[in-house]
Amino acid sequence: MAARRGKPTMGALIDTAAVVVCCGSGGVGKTTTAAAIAVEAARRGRRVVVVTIDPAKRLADALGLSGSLDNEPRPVDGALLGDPELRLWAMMLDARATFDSVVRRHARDEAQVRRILDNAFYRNVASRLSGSQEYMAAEKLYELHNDERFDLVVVDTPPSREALDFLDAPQKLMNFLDHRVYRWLVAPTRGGLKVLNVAAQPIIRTIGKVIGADVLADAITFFRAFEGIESGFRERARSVQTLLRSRSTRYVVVASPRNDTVEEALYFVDQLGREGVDVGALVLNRLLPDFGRGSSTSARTAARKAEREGNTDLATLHANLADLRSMAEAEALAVQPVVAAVSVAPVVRLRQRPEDVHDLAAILSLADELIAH
Amino acid sequence: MSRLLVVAGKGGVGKTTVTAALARASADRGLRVLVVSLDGRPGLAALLGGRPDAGATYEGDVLAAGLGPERRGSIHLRTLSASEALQDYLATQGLARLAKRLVSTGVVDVVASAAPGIDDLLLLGKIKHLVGLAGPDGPHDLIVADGPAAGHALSLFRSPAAMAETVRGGPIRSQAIEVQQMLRDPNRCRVVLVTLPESTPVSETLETASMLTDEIGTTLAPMVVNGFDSAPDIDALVVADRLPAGQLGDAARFRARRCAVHRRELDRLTAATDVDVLTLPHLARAGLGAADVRTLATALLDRSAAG
Repeated sequence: MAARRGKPTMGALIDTAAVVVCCGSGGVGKTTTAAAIAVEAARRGRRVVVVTIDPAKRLADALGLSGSLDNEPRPVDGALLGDPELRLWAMMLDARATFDSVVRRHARDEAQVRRILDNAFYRNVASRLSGSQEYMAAEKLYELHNDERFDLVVVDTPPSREALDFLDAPQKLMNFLDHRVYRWLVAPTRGGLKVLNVAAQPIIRTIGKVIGADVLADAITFFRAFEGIESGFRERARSVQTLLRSRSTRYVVVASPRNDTVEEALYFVDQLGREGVDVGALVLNRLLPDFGRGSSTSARTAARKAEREGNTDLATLHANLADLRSMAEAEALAVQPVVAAVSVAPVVRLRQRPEDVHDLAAILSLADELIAH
Repeated sequence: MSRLLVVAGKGGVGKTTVTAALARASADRGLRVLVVSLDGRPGLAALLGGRPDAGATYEGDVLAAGLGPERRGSIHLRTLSASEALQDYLATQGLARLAKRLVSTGVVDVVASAAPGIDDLLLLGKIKHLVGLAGPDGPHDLIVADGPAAGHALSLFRSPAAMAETVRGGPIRSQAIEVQQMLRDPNRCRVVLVTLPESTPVSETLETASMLTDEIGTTLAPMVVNGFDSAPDIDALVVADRLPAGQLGDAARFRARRCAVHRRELDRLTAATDVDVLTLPHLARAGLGAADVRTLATALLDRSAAG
């Protein structure tokens, strides 16, 4: 909160945050929200990079990310956004490539890099270890945060059941490295014992029985190859964790106005709260537009009146207005619990478009709505 | 009848609502239904008419009984977790005592990390076991799995093949092969894909559908398009250009554009898939009506789930 002055607004958040993390369940428009926040920040003169996880193809095209395989930020053409001076970059996270570069950074020499990268177990772990995508998103975020080119990093989180998967990813990695079994696997080499002895330990033997002796052998080789660099890993994980919990990292919860996604958003808010992390803003995405003031009931009454007067067209039009307003009223009711749950944080309402948001023009108009309060 | 229906779809498409509707409708027809939640998502118990925290455990809770013909229908909800599934599995391997120790010391987490995909495989293995028990003489007639959200469904279904490839022998490999056989057996398992009539969800659903059928060999049940809006009388006014200025005209144009997108996307989905596509109406209220639930049940249980 300290970084913020005055009334909490989305504009203030965009002006002051060093990192914005967009979280929420899948399918609520996290990626487009992240893109709109980044565009708005760039229009306000910040040097921004937006990290997307798995953008729909057309959105990736719009951001100039198609065929972007180098795991590095690419400049977005400001002219397409109406201002050639904008300093905006976009990138698509490649978890595996990020993991590889982490290994390269910490390894002693090229031989150790090769031993790790060529290991069958590593190839599995890098792409599939539960939480590895989350950790790598956090790791990339940290790297970009320390990159002189940018003063704001906006990140889209992997679709997840748990907000904590992202927040706790560094801790999970540290727990893994601190785990007894990991120690058992690595320690003997320090004591001069051989791999065979490791494999002979009863608990390791049991694991081998379950997962197969060959997988276990790959794993032991991997851990041995890893020896000596885990402290670098651990230190880095601690720095990443500190950044994720720093006050200049703001969490934006994204929800759409359906009971089920609101349930999930509530769950996210609750999880963040338990971790002592404030919700920076709540974005309610894809709400129906307002069509004048008035309730569905008044439109329904007008429809009946027109019907009685024999004006069928007018009755149809009023009935349609009544339908849309009842849907909007149901949406308002559905989002109420999560709006109440974030009490002090700004709530931003983005209107539904007839089409999915997948071009820069639509992202620009979302960016306008983001701060129109 | 297929004994297992896995309901899958991206978050926000109403997957959990469809799961609940399907379970409820099946129980109303006298089936003893077991709903398994794979990620303990909130809201499912309430949608099934239970307390919000019901069914959150591994053994679960019976949420309804005495439904349908001969008052035989019931709904049982349980939440499966990989670590409990591992304990069960080790117990069947004669390692029950060790299983407890592995779990209590947290070794399970390391095992899961050491063999990525093993937790998914363990969950599917547990479901396979439950499907094996299901039937007229078993505890349940139908199992409805509220699948994990988004991309998790594909990685879940891919895990047996990946494990069979990585692990060259032993019990995990045979488990992987047996689970793969279940996923490919239309008499035991079908997948209900739920989506919305919008361009990105439809494209992603088509991708998921082809991966499930071509890569994994799973049979699809009818697809469900949720929130389908149609307003022919408004379309007619818009086409005839008989719209007043102001909110009435704006509202009509908005509705007509939205309905046109829904129609276009439904047509695109229907044209690109061999399975039936069912629509559920866009509703002013946030849940489904009894009639929608009956339509859904008829289509999913009679037309395609019958093997």
